Amino acid sequence: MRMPRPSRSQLGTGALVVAALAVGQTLNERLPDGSDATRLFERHVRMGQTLEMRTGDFTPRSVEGATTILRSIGSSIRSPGVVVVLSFDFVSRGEPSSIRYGELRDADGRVTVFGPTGDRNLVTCGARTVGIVVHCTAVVEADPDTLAGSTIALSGDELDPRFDDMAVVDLQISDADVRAWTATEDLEVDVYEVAGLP
Amino acid sequence: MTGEPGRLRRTIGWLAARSLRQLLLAVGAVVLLASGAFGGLRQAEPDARDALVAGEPHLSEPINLTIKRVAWSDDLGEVIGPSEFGRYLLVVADVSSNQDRSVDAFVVKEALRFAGLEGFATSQLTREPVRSEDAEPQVIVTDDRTRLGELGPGLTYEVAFIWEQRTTEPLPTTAELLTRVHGFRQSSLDDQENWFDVADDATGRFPVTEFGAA
Repeated sequence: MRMPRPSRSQLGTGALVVAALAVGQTLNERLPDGSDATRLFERHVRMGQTLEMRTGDFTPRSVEGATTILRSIGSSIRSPGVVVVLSFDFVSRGEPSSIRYGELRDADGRVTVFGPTGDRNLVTCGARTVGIVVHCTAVVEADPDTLAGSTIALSGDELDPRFDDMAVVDLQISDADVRAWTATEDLEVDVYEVAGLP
Repeated sequence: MTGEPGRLRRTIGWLAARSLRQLLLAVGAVVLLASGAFGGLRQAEPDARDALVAGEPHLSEPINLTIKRVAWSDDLGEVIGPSEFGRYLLVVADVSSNQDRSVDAFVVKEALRFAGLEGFATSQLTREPVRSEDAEPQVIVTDDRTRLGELGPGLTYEVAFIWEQRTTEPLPTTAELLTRVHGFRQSSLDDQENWFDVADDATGRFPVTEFGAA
């Protein structure tokens, strides 16, 4: 039995289907997969530099450490390790925003996740008014054995830190810093304040 | 009308017409299917739980727990004041995690329970009396009396797990503690990965002494 000859329109339809499949396959290969596409958008910033995040300007100012801290507001803590205190400025842009998510990444790649609530590890940043500089703090406990070489990563939303850029701050902590901090007590921490106000 | 005797005769006749091989295969299939539903024919391990011993570390994944003492008090003074529910029952323990990523506070709270006691407050916020296995403790760091939050890698804290119990329940002189393990997986509701699937782990009986007594 002889097969019927396909018409020109049938051939055209077949060619379009094959072309669509080829385009789909190419897109599938070239577009990032799910985990890559939803990765944190990390941007590194050095102490004293200003990073323009999507929701505001972030400037890390200084880092200190001690075994005990005295907060101006809230709980004072005594750590079995070292309490690291990163001071930074944040200025909301466009809409009121803040920094509410933090990760301490130590020299061994271990991670402590912290947010805006709790008695101990805490990101405190009252930046809610557009254009006003707010002095903020990220307070997090760390194992002194792996603290030298650590970074702190900060972002706006504690529920989904991918909402904004993630600022990654190289804390530039040396072994000598860690030794000094393990011998330091009662570091006073101003929780947050608005620039220009008493 | 054929009735039950007729059906039975036909069944026996049908079975008699089968070969021995067919009958054995059928019996084997039934045994496999029935036992498979309960985990197969391999001898099941008895439900043996590890023993919790005071002063000895025990890993209830992902939390390392070392029970130090079990105590009671009507008033924890500067820590959290007097109990408005009845009395406090507390467990002083060292806790740490075996993970490279911090473990959320709720996992620590779920890791330890009293077993077999009644009249516990559900939680600090919900005061409904429930059995001890269903009651969530406060976890307070003894060094500075703050609530323990995330349990960071490489850090060991001495904490007090604190529950409240109605005084209409008898004060226990000994109490059984139960540790609980978690499994790490992605949530079926959203994309977050965390410690879920709480399951009973180890038990041990401890004397209950008055808090602050020598």
